[in-house]
Amino acid sequence: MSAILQIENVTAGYSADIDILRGLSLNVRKSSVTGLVGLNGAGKSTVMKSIFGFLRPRVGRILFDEQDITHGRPHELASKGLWLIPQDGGLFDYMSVETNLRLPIETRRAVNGLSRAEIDRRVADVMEQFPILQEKRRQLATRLSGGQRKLLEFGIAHVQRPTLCLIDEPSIGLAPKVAEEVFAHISTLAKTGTSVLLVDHNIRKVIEVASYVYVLTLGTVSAEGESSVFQTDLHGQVKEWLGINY
Amino acid sequence: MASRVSSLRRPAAPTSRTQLLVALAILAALAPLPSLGLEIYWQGVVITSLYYALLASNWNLLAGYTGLFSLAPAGFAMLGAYVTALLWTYAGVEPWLGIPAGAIVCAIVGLVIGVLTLRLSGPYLALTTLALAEILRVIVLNSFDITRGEIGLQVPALFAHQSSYYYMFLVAVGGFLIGLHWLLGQPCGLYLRAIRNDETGARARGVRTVFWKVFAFSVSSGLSGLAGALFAHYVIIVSPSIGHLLVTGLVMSMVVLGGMGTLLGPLVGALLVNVSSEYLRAAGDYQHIVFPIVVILFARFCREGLVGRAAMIFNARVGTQARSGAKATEVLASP
Amino acid sequence: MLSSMLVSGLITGTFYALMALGLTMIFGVLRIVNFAHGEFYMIGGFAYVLLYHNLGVPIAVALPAAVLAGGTLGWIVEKLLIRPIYAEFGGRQQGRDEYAIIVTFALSILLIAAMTKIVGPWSLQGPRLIDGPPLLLAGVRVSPHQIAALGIALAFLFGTLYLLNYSLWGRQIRAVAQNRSAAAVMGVDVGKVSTIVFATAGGLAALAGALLSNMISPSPDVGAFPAIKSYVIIVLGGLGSPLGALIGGLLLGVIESLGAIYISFSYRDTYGLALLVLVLLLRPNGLFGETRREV
Repeated sequence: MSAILQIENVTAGYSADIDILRGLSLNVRKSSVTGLVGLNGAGKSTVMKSIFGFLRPRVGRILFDEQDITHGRPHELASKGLWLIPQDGGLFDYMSVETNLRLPIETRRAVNGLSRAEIDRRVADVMEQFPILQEKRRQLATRLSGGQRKLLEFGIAHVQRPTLCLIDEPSIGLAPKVAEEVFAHISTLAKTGTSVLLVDHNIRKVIEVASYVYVLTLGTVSAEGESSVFQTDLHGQVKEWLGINY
Repeated sequence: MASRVSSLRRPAAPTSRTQLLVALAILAALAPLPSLGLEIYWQGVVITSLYYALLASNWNLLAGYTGLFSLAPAGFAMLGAYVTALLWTYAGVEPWLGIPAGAIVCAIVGLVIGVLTLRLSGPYLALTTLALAEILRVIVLNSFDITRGEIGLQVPALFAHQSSYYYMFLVAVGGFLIGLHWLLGQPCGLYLRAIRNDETGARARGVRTVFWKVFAFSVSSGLSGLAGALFAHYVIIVSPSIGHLLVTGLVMSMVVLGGMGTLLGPLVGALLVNVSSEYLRAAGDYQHIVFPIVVILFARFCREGLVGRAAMIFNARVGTQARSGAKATEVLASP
Repeated sequence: MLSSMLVSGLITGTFYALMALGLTMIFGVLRIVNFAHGEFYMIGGFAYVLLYHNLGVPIAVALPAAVLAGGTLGWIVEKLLIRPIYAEFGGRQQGRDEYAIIVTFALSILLIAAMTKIVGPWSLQGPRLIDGPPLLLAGVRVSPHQIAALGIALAFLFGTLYLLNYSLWGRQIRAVAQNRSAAAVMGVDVGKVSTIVFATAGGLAALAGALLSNMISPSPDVGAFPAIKSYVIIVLGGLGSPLGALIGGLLLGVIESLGAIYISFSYRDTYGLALLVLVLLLRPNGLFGETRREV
């Protein structure tokens, strides 16, 4: 299976003398979910930031669809078909639910050349898929509950039809039932043709949803494999990778 | 997170005893100049520099150590000066009572402004102090019957000879710096610096951040008022020009040039800026053009200022010597 | 008497709002206060007056040129001085505030001093937009010039507010103000938006300076009070709130004009401070504050 995103030997960090990522290499496969797990501080969120241009790698390169995006700026990457659902706050709090859904795609209309009818259709699609958003379409995003906010962020991602969607800790702070729903939407995203790079602290769920999993330890990949391999003796393996009692 | 790491690499010894010793050495070197025949004019320049050094060190206590930005150091100096001037003019109060009264009034005003603005996070202190400084000036200018507007009020001199003022300001600056050095070594000094580095973190560790911020602002306002009141009895005429925003601009450039958050920086900055101002003024009033440019360049490219930069170089050299096995003396160890 | 004072207060307030709108937009997008805002006003006033008097440029050209001068200055200032904030401080608000206050305050003094060097410390009265006998408007005598100036100010004020709320351009600006990284993810060039906002704010302040140059003759330090009033207004209206800038501006205009008759005319510039103290005491988030008190 070919890769939509290739990270090759990337070293990155926030201050000049401390590297968070140290020679990291990983691939995200087309139209499937790739999982990334690791302890707090392993550099999971830093991977996301580096891909999306919020942090410039010092060494190495990042290829998206075989195109070098190592030094791309965030807004340029958005127009290439990348999308990010950040760990906290991907919404515009003082805009309505509907504006939150529409504004990103309308912003990129100049690039993607979508017709207004197509945008309306996609928004209507999402409203149908997430009835709660339909119900609250006129409300400000700040009035939504934590779970509803996450659903809105997935709704926005659905409207974009991105080639690659980066999802950072989607289940953090959510009730187990809502988290289930969120993971179901991740599977849906992949089925509709979007490639996903998923970071989450819930290792069991990541392995369930993802087809391929990387384990990140201190900024570099310490183990990887098809998720089916991990399902048999997850306990033992996790202990071994992370050196903890899971 | 990144910046927190880099802030650790800032000059390692902000309260360094070495800086205090250098500052006292500079003051000691200035002391014999009048008896060695320094002209009256240049004595005046040094006195003004020392007055500015007081305001600048005071502003540095706020901006450099606590992270609070007041735009009214000159405004408070003017307020302090007018308190003693008005008390003298209308109640015949002697300067030795009027000067502390000026300081107390400023501390109280500072307390009120501090309580109002420092509970909030955001640029409220800078906005309010700027409005206060300018509006105080308007009140003074417009209350002609009481303050005689731009003409100003006459106050009595403290001493017969200029050299006495010279020594008074030397002692005042020296005393202030020793006091500041002592304060920064106390728990409260650590609280202030913790607030500047990471206010949320400081609060999370139980520092009463609002209390200490208000405390620092009130003390600093009072001391600015004290400096202004002392200066009033040196210049003998108290006028609104003491509180002009240009003065605040000069004070800011002294601290930024010398080094924010360094004990020695404001004194060095005040001497450099005020003495070179004399030449720039003679060349055609260029000081208010040159120093803002210097400030912008330093803020952009040399945020640690001259003293901060010197301390870094010095520390680095001491560090290298230590690594190479040479006997490193603990000159720069913070108390 | 009361109604005429209200009208004259609202007229003054409109010009205050014009300045405060740009300032609050800058705060919204960049989270900093531009302490050189009064100097944009001053540059606008001088550009208008000098173009007309010294170069004989007609008013119809001099006025847009003044707006352009303020806009260009804002553009340059953002690119040269403000841009590094985001490159160097990342998420650290404290360092950003320090830098912004020091740099914009120094810039303010620099511009005043430079203008004093160029044109001298005197004030120069600007030309009227139109001449004609005064008219009576709700009991207030207003000149056709004042009406024209007011009309232009209102058009720009409401035009900007309309664009901010209903155009894609304006929504993108609000998006950056509300969530900088999410705006970047959706494809907005946040750096460009910051530059545009600074230039717009500079242009609006310069417009206020030019329109008022007949009533308040520009001198190098003329910007101090309009700037202080816009600081009061943005706190009153809520930092970062465009609607708050409008309402706050009108409110301050009315309060000053009422205070001028009922309390004292010569202290009218000080009522803003009293208002500021009241707001900080009673409603520190301002009337329309979207911002949280604690981040």
